[in-house]
Amino acid sequence: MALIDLSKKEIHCKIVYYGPGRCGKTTNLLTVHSTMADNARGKMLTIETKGDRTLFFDLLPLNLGTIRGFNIRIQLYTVPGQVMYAATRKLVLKGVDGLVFVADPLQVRRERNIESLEDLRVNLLDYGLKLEELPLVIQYNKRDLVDTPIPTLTVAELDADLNSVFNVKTFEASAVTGMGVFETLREISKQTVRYVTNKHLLHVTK
Amino acid sequence: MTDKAPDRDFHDEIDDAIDNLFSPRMGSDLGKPAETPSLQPVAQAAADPAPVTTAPVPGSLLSVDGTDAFAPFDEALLSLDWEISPGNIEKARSALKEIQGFFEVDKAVALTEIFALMDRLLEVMAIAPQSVSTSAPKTLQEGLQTLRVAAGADDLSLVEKTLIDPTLSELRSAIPNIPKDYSKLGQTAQPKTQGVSGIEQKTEAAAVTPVQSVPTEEDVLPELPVVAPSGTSAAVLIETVNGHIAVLGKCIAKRIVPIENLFAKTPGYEKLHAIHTELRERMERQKQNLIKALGVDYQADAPLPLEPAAGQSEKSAVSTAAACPWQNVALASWGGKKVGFLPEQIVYQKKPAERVRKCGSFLPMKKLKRGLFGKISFVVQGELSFRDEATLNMLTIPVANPSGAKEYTPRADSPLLILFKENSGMAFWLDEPTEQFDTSTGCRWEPVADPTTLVAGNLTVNGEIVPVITMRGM
Ligand SMILES: Nc1nc2c(ncn2[C@@H]2O[C@H](COP(=O)(O)OP(=O)(O)OP(=O)(O)O)[C@@H](O)[C@H]2O)c(=O)[nH]1
Ligand SMILES: [Mg+2]
Repeated sequence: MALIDLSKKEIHCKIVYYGPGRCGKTTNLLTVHSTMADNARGKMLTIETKGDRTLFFDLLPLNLGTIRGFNIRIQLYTVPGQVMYAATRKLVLKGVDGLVFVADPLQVRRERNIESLEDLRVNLLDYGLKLEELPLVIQYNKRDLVDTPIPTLTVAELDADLNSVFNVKTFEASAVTGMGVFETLREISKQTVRYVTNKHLLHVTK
Repeated sequence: MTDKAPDRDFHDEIDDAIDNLFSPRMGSDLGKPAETPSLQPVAQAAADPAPVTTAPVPGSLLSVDGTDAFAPFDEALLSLDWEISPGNIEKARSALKEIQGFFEVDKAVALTEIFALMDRLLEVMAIAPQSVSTSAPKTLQEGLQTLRVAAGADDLSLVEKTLIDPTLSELRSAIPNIPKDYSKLGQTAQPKTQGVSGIEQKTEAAAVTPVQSVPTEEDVLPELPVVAPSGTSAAVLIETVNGHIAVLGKCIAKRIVPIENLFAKTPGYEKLHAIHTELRERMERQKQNLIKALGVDYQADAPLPLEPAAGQSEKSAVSTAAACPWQNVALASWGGKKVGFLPEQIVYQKKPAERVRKCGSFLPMKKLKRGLFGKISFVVQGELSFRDEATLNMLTIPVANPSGAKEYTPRADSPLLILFKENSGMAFWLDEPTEQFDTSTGCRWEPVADPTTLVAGNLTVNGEIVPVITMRGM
């Protein structure tokens, strides 16, 4: 999906929010959508038919505006996290330029996080992409639950499970309150636009 | 990621743009990684999607004596949210009972129905999990929030309208029965008698058993009477059920099957295909159950229900008036006449550029592009938003002509509306933008059976007959 059309001076970047079912991917996008100004965001497209579970994907197009004559657009996608939607998850990953792995801090979901990250790695390999070579940030979502009696994982545990290999930037977040949502998005957007422009050896002179 | 950019300044500018764009009203620390464990909720605007906060518990209440009694249920609900398993359901049900025991007697009595419905929803989840929306745990969460607030309220009557009533209706609508979309078709009020004879209905019927709660709308749906009614009401019932069977059959054949087939041949749409197959099978089972129950009274060629039968006594309360099959219709004036459109078929509705107005009888979709880099997919919605740009570029839609005159030129400010379904579409120059109309607010619906017209039926709104225009698709 990374698309640089030099003649039209457009740069399109595709960022996918990945993670186990119910970790809060869609909520991240909803929060971004509800907080951003109308002129910068497109219509959020949510294709879901079962309760609030994503069956296909959510898509939120954002427009960064024009920089040095280049119109930069960022499209945020989510995958359906539930295990059974493996094929769709893979399809949504096609042409991905940047990734946010959203992890669920509930202790009971510990294994699911690890499985989902592995699922991501394997799916990318099928497209000839290496996770360690793509822009990636990890979001530890639902931190608002830490103060409740619900057993949650500590940041150290999450780091050990998910970030010991990649050692990428991580963000504590609560998609429902908005905490950390934009921090995550800012970081992955910067990395991704940089990656896309570098990949295409786009050279912009002053 | 490597930072070796070919041009640092360009990237710095991009970074600035990103910082500007993605810090709307947030004011929180920029791009700081995880070491900030601040758990303060940020900007209220961002809190919209939070489902759990709809019934906020006053902070003070959390420390009210015994509030801990809520925690096990809270936890059980979270487990359920992940996995609807018999163990998790059992845990939740017993935790719920515990909470009930914790209430003072008069409050417990006042809240009986909430407890009963919550327990019933849990039970349905155990018996027929596939028929429960995945948002059921969320509904239960909301129920729990209401109980929390009720526990701390001095006077329950103060929260009755704002909290208890909405919770009750949420819970009621979460308890499943027949598929939602079709609940209005030929809806019939049947005697609320338990004891279904069919084998097929075991699961669904069981779902409606033990907790005796106040009858709800759903309770009145298609369960079959044990004792056959007699006289006029029997005749009305038979006619109604026959009509209902006819509607079911039509729904299956005209609506579900084509969509099911379409999904079957569209790669990547396996899930939707499976959902439609399941839906069709359920509807077919319903139909068979009704046919079985009618026995000799089944009329294979029963007419679709239209109006209450002439002379039907008011008292029989069995309405055979056909409900409009759609909850919402978009009304507009077109060529000076009021017409309706199905919102889900509207793929475009805007005032387009001047050049589009000169298209005449056929509108190439590519004319709708805006700006130099515009794409058709940016301006269309609904079904067309799934098509790729190349397909959209080739699409030309006929423009409906309200006057019948040879050449029709729209006014300079007419909004353009495009309907699309499956492979067919039609464009309309409206006199004014559409307005949503809720068909449940009292109107008459008469379907039009003629497949050669785009009019699916006529709504009577405030005495005015409004044809509803739909694309019938394949
Ligand atoms: N407490 C809390 N709940 C959250 C948070 N983020 C999401 N949720 C809740 O978790 C549930 C699932 O969130 P979604 O955003 O739909 O999850 P998803 O990752 O898109 O799930 P799938 O579409 O099934 O893959 C919803 O009920 C959300 O309200 C959070 O930060 N804190
Ligand atoms: Mg989702």
